[in-house]
Amino acid sequence: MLDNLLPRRDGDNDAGSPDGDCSLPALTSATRTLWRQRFAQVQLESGFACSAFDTDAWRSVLRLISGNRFDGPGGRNIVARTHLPVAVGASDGAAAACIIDCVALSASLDWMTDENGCWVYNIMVYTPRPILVCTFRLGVPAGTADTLLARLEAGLSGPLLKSVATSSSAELAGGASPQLLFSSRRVLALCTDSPSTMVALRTRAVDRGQFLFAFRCAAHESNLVASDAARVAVCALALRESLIITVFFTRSYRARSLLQAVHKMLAGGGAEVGALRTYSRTRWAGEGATIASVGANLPALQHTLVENGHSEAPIVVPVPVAAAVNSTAAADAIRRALPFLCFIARIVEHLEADSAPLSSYTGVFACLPATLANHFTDISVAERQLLQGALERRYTSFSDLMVELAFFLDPFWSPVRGRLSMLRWGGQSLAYMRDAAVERLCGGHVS
Amino acid sequence: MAGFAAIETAHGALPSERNSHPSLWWRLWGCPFRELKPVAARLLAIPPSAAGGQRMFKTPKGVLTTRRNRLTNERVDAQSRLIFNTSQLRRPDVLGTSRRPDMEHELLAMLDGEKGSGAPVQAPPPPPVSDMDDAAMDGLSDGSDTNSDGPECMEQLPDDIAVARIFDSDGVEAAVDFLLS
Repeated sequence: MLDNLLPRRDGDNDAGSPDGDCSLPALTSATRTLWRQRFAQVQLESGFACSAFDTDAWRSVLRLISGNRFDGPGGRNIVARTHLPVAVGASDGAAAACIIDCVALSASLDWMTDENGCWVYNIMVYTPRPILVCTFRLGVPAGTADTLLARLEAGLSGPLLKSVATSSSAELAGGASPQLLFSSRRVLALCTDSPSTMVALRTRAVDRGQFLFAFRCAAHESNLVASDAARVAVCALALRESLIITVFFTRSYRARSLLQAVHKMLAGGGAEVGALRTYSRTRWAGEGATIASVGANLPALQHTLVENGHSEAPIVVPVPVAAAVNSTAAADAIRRALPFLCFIARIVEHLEADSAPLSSYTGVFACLPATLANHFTDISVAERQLLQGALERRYTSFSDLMVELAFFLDPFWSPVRGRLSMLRWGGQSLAYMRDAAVERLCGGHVS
Repeated sequence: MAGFAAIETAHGALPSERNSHPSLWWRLWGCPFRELKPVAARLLAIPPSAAGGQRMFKTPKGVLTTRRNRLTNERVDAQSRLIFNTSQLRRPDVLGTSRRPDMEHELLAMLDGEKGSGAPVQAPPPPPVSDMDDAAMDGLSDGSDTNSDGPECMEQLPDDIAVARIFDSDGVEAAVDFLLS
């Protein structure tokens, strides 16, 4: 047995003692540098800090497993000042190659608040695979549309996009038609969410000819449709009752434990159900997920209350919670609201995918009001009409002529295209908007 | 346009063609339409959302953390770009692997009158019971196909923290009123 633990000296490279003494060949300086760079690249790609492996413990382990030949990428300063720029340069090179090879390019600008409470903006391009161009902070200047547009132009003119045109201003001013510009390699469109600053930014960017067209993010807008739907009476009742149940059974430790025990008991009998899903106002299309989880859990919840009633030390269940669990009106509202809300959630899921084509924007928003006329009949006629109005209002506020044109160019929608083309959105039919898009495409000269 | 309709009907009727990305359809069958093809192929390849920008926010949040909050903007930007772009470039071809979702087929079917009582309910798959705490922080959609989590997926949302506080102090109805406000 002990022989297996001793280092072999027969030329086998696997040989080595636990303290790292072995007969592996020494590394050349170039190989050691390469190893350090590759190690640092994976370290940084994985989100580790520059100093993550800059400790005696890590160095000793790396020496041990490498036969005393490699002790890590080096100190934090070497990683940050030497290896990080090399790794970023390689990544930027690959991203630039992807941008050159892509079919079409569009851009987006968005913002978040970082750990230090500062607003951070990001500029992305979509190939349709999203590529991060840069992030920036404004500092002292206010985040007006003009400031943001200037930073957007500066960001897009960076090295990552040097092989494509990032502005169409000069060509459009020179009389080139948008149709011609579509044939060249350039950033075609701008997509943002809907705050007023971003709306102004989009308008100015198109007015100045930087982009051929701009539109609001479909995922954000369909999420707003889901919020509109949640305000319709039957959905609002289902949501409120579901939230009363979810908040209590996820925030009360004892109630949650009791529900979990009931879940396990039901699972033993073959009736496995998922957990309750909490609701947040900022989670996309979360209404459907929360209501669906409550709907699936209702028998288990009723069972939990019965178990609690028989307990020696029962939990004090608030009256609204007990009423919500046992209410037939709530159960009925959940049953009626769920099909439409879940469908909206699936729409959001599709529209936020990188692979969704632009035509899905109009396709989905045009089909949905039409289906509401004869489907989702568990919702009353008046409520469906309210939903149709909400859909029309949302769509007319964010649509662009080129988005409508995309719908007419997609063969998938051909079976319903004729039927939907006469639908009126904000006073105009889709067919009219298609013709206007073609006219704009040709620079106002349709032959 | 009559020529377009004929080609579209001929090649769009095949199930494989109907399910593929329309930008690929135009690159494959759009040759007779010399002027329209580049417009259509490029227009349809543009995604309708800016959700990629939302998903990207997880990256700088992982670089600039509570314990690493003194990094320079340039370093945060560089490492964020490295992390996000590397992971995106490893994904398979987005257009080539794209398939039309069932939701769009159902929409067409409903308009054709094949179903009469609303779309079938297809609730998101529920998480396992033991992961109840994690489930509270999950986004709705987590399919690898879409690579799409909600904007604030996998993190403690401000609403979750506020609801816990209001529930402890003012009760369940106040917490619900806050969520619906």
